[in-house]
Amino acid sequence: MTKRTGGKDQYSFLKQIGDQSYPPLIIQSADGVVTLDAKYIILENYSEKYKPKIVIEHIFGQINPRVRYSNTERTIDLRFTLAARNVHEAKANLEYCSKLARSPYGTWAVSDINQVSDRAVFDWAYHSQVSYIVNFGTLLRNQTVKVTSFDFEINFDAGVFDYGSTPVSDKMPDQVVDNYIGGQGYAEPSSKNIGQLLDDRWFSKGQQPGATLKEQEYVYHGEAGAVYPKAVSVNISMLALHSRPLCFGGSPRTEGSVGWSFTGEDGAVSNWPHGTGGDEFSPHSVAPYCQPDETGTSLPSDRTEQVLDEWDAKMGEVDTGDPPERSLEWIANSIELK
Amino acid sequence: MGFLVEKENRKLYNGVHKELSLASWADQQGYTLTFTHVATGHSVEFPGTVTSFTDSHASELKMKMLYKETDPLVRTQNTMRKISFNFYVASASLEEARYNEQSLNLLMCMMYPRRNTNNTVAAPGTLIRVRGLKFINTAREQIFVGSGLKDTHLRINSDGIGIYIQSLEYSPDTEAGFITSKGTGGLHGEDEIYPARIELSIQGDVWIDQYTADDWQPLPHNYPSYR
Repeated sequence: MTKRTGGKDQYSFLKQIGDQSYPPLIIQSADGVVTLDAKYIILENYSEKYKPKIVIEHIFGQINPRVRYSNTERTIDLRFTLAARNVHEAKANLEYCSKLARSPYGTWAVSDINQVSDRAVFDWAYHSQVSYIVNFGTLLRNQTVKVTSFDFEINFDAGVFDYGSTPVSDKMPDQVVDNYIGGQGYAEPSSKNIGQLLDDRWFSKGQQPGATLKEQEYVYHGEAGAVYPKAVSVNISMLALHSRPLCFGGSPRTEGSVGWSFTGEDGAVSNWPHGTGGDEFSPHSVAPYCQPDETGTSLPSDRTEQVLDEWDAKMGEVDTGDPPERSLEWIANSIELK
Repeated sequence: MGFLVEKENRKLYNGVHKELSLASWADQQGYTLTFTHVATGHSVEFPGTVTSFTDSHASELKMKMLYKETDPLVRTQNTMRKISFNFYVASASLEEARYNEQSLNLLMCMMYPRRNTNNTVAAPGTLIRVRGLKFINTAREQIFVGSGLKDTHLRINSDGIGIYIQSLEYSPDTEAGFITSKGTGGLHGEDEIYPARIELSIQGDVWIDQYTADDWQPLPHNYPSYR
């Protein structure tokens, strides 16, 4: 089952909205080696392109050409913004992007090692392009892809988190008075700057906001020379791959059937390409053309109604208090498709 | 013997929120776009919200320049017709969004052919017929009935213009927002997210219906029909 929550290292406002309403974007390599945090993203653009590859051959004197189909290419483009409300989140966003930027690259294996004078020289052989599995709500459900491109852009207009070079006391305002030494004035101020001070406070609480540093107050950092953007945009292009042939009919279907060949991962009955919600009895849950041809759980719509009516009648015979859930298993056992 | 999946003819949304829906307007005006997958007979309807339409007819000529002649010798190799149009699908409720997404699913499945049980592609491949708003249609075949002309479809396919789609793009309008429902995604329990407005962009090559009319020409006399 798809994980429904995300928002690790994301600020509470975005996390709360995501937890209540939006799906997280979940990307992991098919071999499970690379797993990125489930992120709530600000979706800027999403598009899917379907390009049937057909060869068109013109024949002199003929009005229509000869057309031959080979396959259909499905590509997915995703553009989103990752926003940061504090230094910690900005760093997490950049780390996330660094991992994601590796996705268009292949993997290599050492094919040979040569000794040249006193050092080893490696020969690398291209091994494979990593496949990733992407989940994004009903739009992308365990979709296997090859990432073909990754674009990363910093939105400088949104601002950056600067190095905090201003010297400050490491005492809280109500503690400053304690540093007053009679006849000598205040004690020497700390040599820390505000960036280092905020870093210390953040890390002292296990990289979480606390009483001394609230979530939105961590806006300077102590790393001279570094700037952390408040907003970055990511654009990834993916080529969708499918473990089963996509077509109507075909070898998985009975002859004469015009049902969709793809019935979901692990043989589960499923819509394709997008999920359409609803419970198992909803008319939107699985389209008739995606249903198997002959199974106990697959019913033509008129037969479904008949069975459900029988169920309701059965339940009406005995007072069982709250109406029970209609059991798909019961229905499957109650009928025999002839 | 159990049942076999048969062709599905998916109509406009007709659910409980129809009065809020574009489907209501489309029904009232007769503005519908119908896509039919020829190999299977599956069809799906959408409100006719066409935002752009282009129809190009271009011939490929083979020219031979002759010495001292002003004009070349010209021979037509072929003439191709290409069509492109955009339309959008908007949803006013979660229920309608689910319905529309399923309709769009069927349209996207139509980008794939029907295969025989030995996995060979069944004719005519991914040919789709599109009909709607008069200007997306086949030529009108007319016969004299009494004192006037009357449309008939004795020899021309009435399911609309035949197109081999080269590209179909599904692009949610993110500015219009999304309709969401957390963790209610049917059998898989995924989070539901439906764009409130989705742009569809289609480009393709037209398959020209032809028949021999009284003038012995393969193209109908009113081809292409825009009205």
